[in-house]
Amino acid sequence: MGNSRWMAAAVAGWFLVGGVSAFAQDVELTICRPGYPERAKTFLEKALGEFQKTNPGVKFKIVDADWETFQSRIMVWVAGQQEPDIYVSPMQQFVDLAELGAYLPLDQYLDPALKADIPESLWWDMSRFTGGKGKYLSVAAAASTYTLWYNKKILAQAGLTRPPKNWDELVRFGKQIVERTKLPAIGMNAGRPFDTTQLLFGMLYFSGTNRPFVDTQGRAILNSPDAVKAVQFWVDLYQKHKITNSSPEQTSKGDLRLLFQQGKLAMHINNPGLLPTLAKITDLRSPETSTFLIGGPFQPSLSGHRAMNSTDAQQWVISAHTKHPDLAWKVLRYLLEPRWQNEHDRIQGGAPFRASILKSMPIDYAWILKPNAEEASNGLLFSPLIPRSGQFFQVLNKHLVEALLGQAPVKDALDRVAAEVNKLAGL
Amino acid sequence: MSVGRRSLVAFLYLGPSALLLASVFLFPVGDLAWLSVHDAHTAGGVKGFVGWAHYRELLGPEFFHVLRTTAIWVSISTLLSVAVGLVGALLLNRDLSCRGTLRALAFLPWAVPHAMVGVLWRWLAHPQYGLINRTLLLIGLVSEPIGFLSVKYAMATAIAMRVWKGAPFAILAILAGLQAIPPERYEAAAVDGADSWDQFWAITLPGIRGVLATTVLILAIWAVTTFDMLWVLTEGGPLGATEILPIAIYRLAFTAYDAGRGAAIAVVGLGISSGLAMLYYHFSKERIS
Amino acid sequence: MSLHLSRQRQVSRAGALIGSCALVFLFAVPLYTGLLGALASPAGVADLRPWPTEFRWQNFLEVWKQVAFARFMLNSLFYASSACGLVLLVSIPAGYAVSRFRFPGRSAYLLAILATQMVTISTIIIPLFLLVVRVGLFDRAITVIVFSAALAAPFAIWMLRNYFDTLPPDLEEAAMVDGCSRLRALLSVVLPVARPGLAVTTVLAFTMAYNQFFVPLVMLSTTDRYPALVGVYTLARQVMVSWEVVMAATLLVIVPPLILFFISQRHLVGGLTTGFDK
Repeated sequence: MGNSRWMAAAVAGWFLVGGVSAFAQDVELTICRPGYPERAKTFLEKALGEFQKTNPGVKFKIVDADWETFQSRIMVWVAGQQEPDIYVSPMQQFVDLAELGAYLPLDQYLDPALKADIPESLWWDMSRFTGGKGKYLSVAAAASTYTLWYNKKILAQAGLTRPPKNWDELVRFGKQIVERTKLPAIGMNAGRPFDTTQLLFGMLYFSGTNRPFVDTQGRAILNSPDAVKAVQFWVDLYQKHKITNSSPEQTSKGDLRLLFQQGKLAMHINNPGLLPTLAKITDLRSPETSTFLIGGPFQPSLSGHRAMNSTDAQQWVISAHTKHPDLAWKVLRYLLEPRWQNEHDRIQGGAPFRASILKSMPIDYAWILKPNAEEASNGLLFSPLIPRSGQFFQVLNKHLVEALLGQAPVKDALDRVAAEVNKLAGL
Repeated sequence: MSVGRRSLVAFLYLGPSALLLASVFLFPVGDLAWLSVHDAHTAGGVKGFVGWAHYRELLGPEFFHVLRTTAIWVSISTLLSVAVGLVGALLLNRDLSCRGTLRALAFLPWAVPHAMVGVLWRWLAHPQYGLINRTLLLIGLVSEPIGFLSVKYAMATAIAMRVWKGAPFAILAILAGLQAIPPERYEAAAVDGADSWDQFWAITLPGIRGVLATTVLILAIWAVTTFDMLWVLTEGGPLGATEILPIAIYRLAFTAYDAGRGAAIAVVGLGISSGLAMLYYHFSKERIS
Repeated sequence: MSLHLSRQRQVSRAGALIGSCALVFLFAVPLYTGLLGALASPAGVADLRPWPTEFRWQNFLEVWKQVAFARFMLNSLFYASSACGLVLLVSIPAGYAVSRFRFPGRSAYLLAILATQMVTISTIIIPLFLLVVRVGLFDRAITVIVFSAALAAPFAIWMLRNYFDTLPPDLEEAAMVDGCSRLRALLSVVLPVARPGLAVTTVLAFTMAYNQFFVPLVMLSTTDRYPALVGVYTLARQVMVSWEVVMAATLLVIVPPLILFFISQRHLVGGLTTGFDK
């Protein structure tokens, strides 16, 4: 008799505890800013900590991920409906995920102030990927262009007082650097599909052709005569002039960053994401104190026009599977406030692109980031918004590396890419 | 005990294991066949029936490259592993005082998990920082680091890694085979005037023939099903230089998200590993009853 | 004549010793380079020498602080021990029954066990993944545990069967004559005697589960659920890799299976070569 009373009491107590904890349960949102886990964590903990002061019932789970991990996991994550509620979508799969319906349409949430603060070119109409069921699926998180960085000490050692300003000088100066310092003149990476087309290749292609990879209909134009010229120039840097690092097809952009930071590479094309890495080695606050300086895109372009650059953009999205869409937007809108965007740019090493920030907020490393910001609004979107963009980069990289290694002539390689890309797009 | 009763008891004892194994091994095989005739997106669902389309694509140059890479990988790594294993077993069979320690150390690679083998070799063969390149540069043998993970050499490096991992097993198996040869045969041969070379050909090799056959087959099966260490090392290698069957399946299904094509390749892989396994059982004549 | 032979034997003996040492030396190189990397500083790891120039043993401690390494190892041990437990639970009765009982379908069962070796995990991973997602068990520990157990179970069953075959059936017959049920006899009489065989099987199952890489890679997506092997892999393929951290982590990850390997080495050698007698 006593036993069953204890049992009843235990069961009642269990339900009581369970019920109370269920009611007192905080809403939990998962958020991920992939890229550089330490930087993202610093930013998010700070920003979300402040958010919680005025919204105490909300708990956050910050997911760590570097780009490699995130890019390879995100599709599977979405398939299992386990992806974070709020995240920055990788450009490589941005369109693929939109096609899967992974994003929550944000049309109903966007306010005019936010729309005015972000450049027009960073608002993407995605309705053709959603079948019209949503136009704006994302908000810009970061935007920057690629610049030529150089190590002034190595250049001085080679007898140079300034970086190359055009294509001829790139080759001439490059050879001089290799001859006198025995170090590679410029970093070339072809190790991973998406990364190959950033950095050196991207700089040469975009400033050389002033055109994106595909036209507005999604048809490939990356085998135009200008493009062939630019890509041939890229291949020649490795094959003919030999002014790059060895084994570019095994080299990743991370490898190049490390080499450049360690003073084993004279010049390197990168966006301001390189800043925190370099800041560990040198004082970047002014050109006088910094070992590393920047130059601009090579003028004129290979085709004779004023050279344009490529803009690398990343976008915040909210998962279509989230259980708290309104709350998720509230959090995201909070992170998009100018002061937090500025924090974000500062910690991530990003160039400012928001009008309010550029107008009135203090910018660290202004001598690097101001020119970058000016170029960003002038640049071409580096990642094409085309169907199956993930496969696009794999196809492109495959044939580019074949051309780089001399296994195929550049024109043939690019023609083959164009054919496959058009096939992928159903054209 | 009646047959019925015996069956019931057996059912109870075998049931859990049968359930576990059937759900993991049996069900997917059928599903695989179904998937391979459909256009399926790994994250997006099945899009439609396509019949033999995927299989017809397998007759193309891309898959042929995968088959060729797999064939090279399996044959060379297996033969080299057995060769090293044979040499190692012969060496370690000798009556040396530190034999025990040497044997223990020779089996070290076996204890390292496959994925970590990949990490260690990725570091060892690193084009800039790896020990091999650093040593070669230091001695002055080369002026520029060698691209061990480049398109040209990635397969060689991968095979070396596989041999490193597989040879200890071959040493172990062949050693056991060597020790099963009765020593009287050697003594009789020595009395007849045969030197060690003749003894090797006439006694040793025939004596371990069976062991060699089963070792080759086991190593071949392991090679054909390697994923972990190869993926960690090269992820299919620059431009597919080290893309063997299991890697092709994973890449298609989880980076290109084409589950239908991946399934078709998996069916082929199933055929190959089944064939090898059946060969193995034929040679080893395992007790089944 | 005998003197000549003895010198010949001495030379060949020396040759064998040198050869063996060279072999072992070569086998040690990858692990040695791991150690070199693990003991280096962030600057030194980019400037490796064939001999150790620094001895930063604190790298092994820093690994625990810098990355969620403790989490990874905890996960590994959790998955491996759970899978090992499941394997034993399932394989002990199976191995015993196949060894002791005669019943219709016995050969079929054994053939089925062998047949699982023909189906490799890389071929069936696609339908398994889709199934796991469909039933909502994606990114769950239980999924990894069950699959790891299923992959190790055939070996365990085979090993245990072979082992039980070596034990005389009179052992439990005696107990059953005294009125024990067979199950009781199995648990209280046979298993205690079977401890060596059980130990080897446990080590095998644990090691196989611990070494799982492919299954967790596909079935898990949250970083803090990764086992150590997948965790170290993600460290090694970041955009900017800290090789000294990766190497220290790698060596730490290798420690448990290495220890188990050395403990069971004698028994393991015996257990596996029973398959090789023609």
